[in-house]
Amino acid sequence: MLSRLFAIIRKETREVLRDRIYLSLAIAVPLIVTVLLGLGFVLDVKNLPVVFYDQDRSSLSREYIYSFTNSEYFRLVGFVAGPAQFEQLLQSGAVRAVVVIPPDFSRKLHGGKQVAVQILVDGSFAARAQIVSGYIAAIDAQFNAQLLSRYLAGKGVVTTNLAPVSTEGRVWYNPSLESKNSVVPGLMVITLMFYPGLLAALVVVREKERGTIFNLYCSPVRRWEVIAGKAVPYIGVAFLDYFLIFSLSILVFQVRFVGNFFVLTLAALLYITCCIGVGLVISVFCKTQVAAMLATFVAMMTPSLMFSGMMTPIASMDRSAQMISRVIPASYFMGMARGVYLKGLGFFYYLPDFLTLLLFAAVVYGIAVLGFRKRVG
Amino acid sequence: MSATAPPVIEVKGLWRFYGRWKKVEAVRDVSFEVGRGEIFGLIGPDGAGKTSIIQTLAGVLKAHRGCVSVGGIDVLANPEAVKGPVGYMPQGLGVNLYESLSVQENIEFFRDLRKLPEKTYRENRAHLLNMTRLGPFVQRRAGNLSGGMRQKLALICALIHLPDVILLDEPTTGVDPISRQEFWQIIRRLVQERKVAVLLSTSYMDEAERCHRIALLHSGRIIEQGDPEDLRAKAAGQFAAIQAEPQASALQILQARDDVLSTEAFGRELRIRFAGDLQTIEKALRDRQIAVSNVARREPDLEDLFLQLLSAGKQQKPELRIPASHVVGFPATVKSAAVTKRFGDFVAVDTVDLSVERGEIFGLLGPNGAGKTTLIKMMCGLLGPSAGAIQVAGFDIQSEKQQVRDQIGYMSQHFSLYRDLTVRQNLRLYSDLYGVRNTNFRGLMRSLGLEEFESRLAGDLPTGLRQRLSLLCAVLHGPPVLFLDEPTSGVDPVARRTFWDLIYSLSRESGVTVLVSTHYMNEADHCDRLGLMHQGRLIAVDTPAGLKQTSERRSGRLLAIHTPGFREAFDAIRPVYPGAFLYGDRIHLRSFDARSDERRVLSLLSQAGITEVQTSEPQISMDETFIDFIRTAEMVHA
Repeated sequence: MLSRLFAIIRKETREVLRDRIYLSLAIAVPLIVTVLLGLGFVLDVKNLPVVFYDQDRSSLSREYIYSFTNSEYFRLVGFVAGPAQFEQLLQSGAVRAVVVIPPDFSRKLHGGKQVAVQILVDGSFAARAQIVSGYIAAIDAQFNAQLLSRYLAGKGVVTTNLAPVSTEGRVWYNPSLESKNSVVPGLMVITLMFYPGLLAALVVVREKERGTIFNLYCSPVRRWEVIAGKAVPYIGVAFLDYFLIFSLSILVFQVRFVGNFFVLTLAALLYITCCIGVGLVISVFCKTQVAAMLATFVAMMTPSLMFSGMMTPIASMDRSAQMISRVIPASYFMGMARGVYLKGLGFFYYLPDFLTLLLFAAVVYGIAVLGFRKRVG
Repeated sequence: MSATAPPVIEVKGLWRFYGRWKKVEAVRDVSFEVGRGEIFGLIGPDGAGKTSIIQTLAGVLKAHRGCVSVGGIDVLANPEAVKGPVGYMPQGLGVNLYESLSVQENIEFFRDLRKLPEKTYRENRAHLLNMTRLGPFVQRRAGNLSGGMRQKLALICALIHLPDVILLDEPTTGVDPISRQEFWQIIRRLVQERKVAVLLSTSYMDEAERCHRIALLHSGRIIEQGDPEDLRAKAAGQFAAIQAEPQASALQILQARDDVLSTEAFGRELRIRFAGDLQTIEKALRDRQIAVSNVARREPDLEDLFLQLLSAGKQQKPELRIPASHVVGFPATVKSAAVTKRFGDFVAVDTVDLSVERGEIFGLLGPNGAGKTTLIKMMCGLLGPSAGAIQVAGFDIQSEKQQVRDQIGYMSQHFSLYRDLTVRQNLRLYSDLYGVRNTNFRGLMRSLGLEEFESRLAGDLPTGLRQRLSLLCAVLHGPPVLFLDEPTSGVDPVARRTFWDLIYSLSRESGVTVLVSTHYMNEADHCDRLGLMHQGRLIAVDTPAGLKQTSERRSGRLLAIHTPGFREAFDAIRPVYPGAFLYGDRIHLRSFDARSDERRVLSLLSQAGITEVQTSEPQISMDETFIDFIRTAEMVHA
């Protein structure tokens, strides 16, 4: 019954396995990219190189400096002798922040006066500069509190509670607030969309370019057999990618995983099917591989990166952006993947998302089958 | 063929348009029929509409008007129904194959696409493998097959269901002569044994003779159709070939005469079509102090007819007069000594020794992949040889690259001008690139018939004009040596003749040395000398006539047998003459003693009850000659 379908599946599988470029694009490249991006995409700022220009050289200024170097956020690069030196260090990027302690630092403090400490922050990467400023403000506040309690103790006031209201934050699902826990599942979403989708986008158009498409045009093969026959092997490849990336996320990145593996796997399978379907639609309508590749970048890669919630939460997007995020499969799987990984949410919670992806798949495969005409021109 | 049986393929008033607002008429009011057991050829240049017609019949192209029926199926109404019973092979060398699959896997894929029953499949496969002799290679990857083998595998795949209707789109373009001959034998056998109907297209005029009936196509229209022999008889006037010195003045005298209808220079020969008396023409030449060495009548071929049908009367020959900047003391010659080019393990050009004289038109003849382009690229300094030395115009191609560049013009295989520039802008650009002082191209454009197109984009020109423009750009700087890589591929016969006229005038009037490559066997006659290339080796160098004579000395002259019962006759002759082959509806065999072989054939045929027989001794074709040299070269090599 299905012998023609199996013939196409067999042929496509052989072609993928024997073409070194395709095979590496199908398996090696997605893994390498996940590892590289996973290592590079970490947004936590730690061990910032900092230098001090201590013009006071008193025990108090040293204490102030210790309060920086005792935290894991700053790394002491050294002391500088003058502005020329730290300017050069900042320019070269060897340090990201400079703390300039004025000569009258301890004198003014002992005299009960306010003292201004100059902080120079490298602002070439705005987000990082903001974080640095935040850290410094926090360290300052701590140091001030210390001074204050010491001052009060000197006056004979013993107090344990200087700040009447204190907030005690606890972060759920990602207690250590490590960005890898949300970045790596996000990368899985993007990677599974991009590479298998790209291969699928090339799979029909490649036959058009080579001329082998005539074999399909001129035989009694049915249109759905062609589309299904080409989809299955690539869904298989992408599914393999999924398992590999999942293993990477657990074994290499040690991402917190509290959910149900089977729920994630089912979601991934559905998502992969959708992505291959989008690729096939592109492939059916394009005439050259170059056009198909560009279309993949524009229609798949860009919206998935920008609107899936990978970079910015969907809730904080404006309305038009939210509309886009609602029609791309990546935003559904993004929510599901992070939810299953970090919150352990189950199948029934995501039932609407499963159904949406199912509908999406039905639509794209319908378009692909109807769009595949067994004619030239 | 027999008029009683209903035709298998029937095309009536077919139209097909292209482009926005259906501006381009690709197929115009085409009608023809193909019967069972018949080979029908669509003959015409690129863009004549061959592919559109065949694709319409295969049900993959929509037609805009007309009726098309294949095996009783109305193809336009029901294109899917035709896909089962028809076998279609698209244009291009083995383009329907999957490179990474083995021969066996390719065949199996086609079996599965057509859901062939196992028994039928096994029989068909055995039959086709046996005919194509691909049996020993079933495990090899399709990507590792030679050009000829690819083409045969493509044929097996397209015909695995042994269809009754076979559509082949340019099945032999660029294929080497031996594979081409084998290919025709396979088609012949299928027609002979299974009475299939074959529709094929080709741009080789000489291949038309192998078909039972043909249609000559030009700009989407059938300009003539019928039996090749009848068509040839339609060529009006008489035909002759003259050898005369000095050739250029002889050509001028002939051109001026009213009884000479057309003239053409073919290497050292002048071919004329004339009305009236040949002796008067010969005398007129002698009276003007022309040394006439040989005058012979000749049979018109299909190309003569094609030219006659398309060209309106006698036309002024185009001329290309560019003073070549010959350098004193450096003769415009090309010499190569044991030149070799390797790409990895593959030897593209294998120890080629070649010497081309000044003003000579030297042709490199060979199929795709024979190494012609690689050799030419090395001679132009575009590719470094792996071994050996090349001298062009007295300069060494390796150490004196810059001097060589100034001495040569090069026209590549692919249209390499800027499509988005107009004709004039292209000329301007090339003259600036080469630092040409005189930038008044009006005269040149006029003589090439490009003047009225000067503001057109180069990309919008018809193929023939494009080639002329490319040639003009290549010679603007007056190079004494000119390299042309397959300049006439796919160009229609009229434009092709014009192009050869230009090459001729460059060579004879400006003394330009021309090295030209081609895979058209019948173009070989235009060259003074020919080099036959096969698998990277130069297997023979001689004048076209010299090559044919050598071949006749080695393998005998050609004996052609004409008989209405050629199928039965072929079966009767084959056991005694295993080398005999069918050529259209004639039987060809090679003979060292035509008289005795003729007697023997006649007695064989009368034993078989065939009495209506005629014989003739046609000149051996360049195709045959080439095959002879390949066989000898392979024997020597082995």
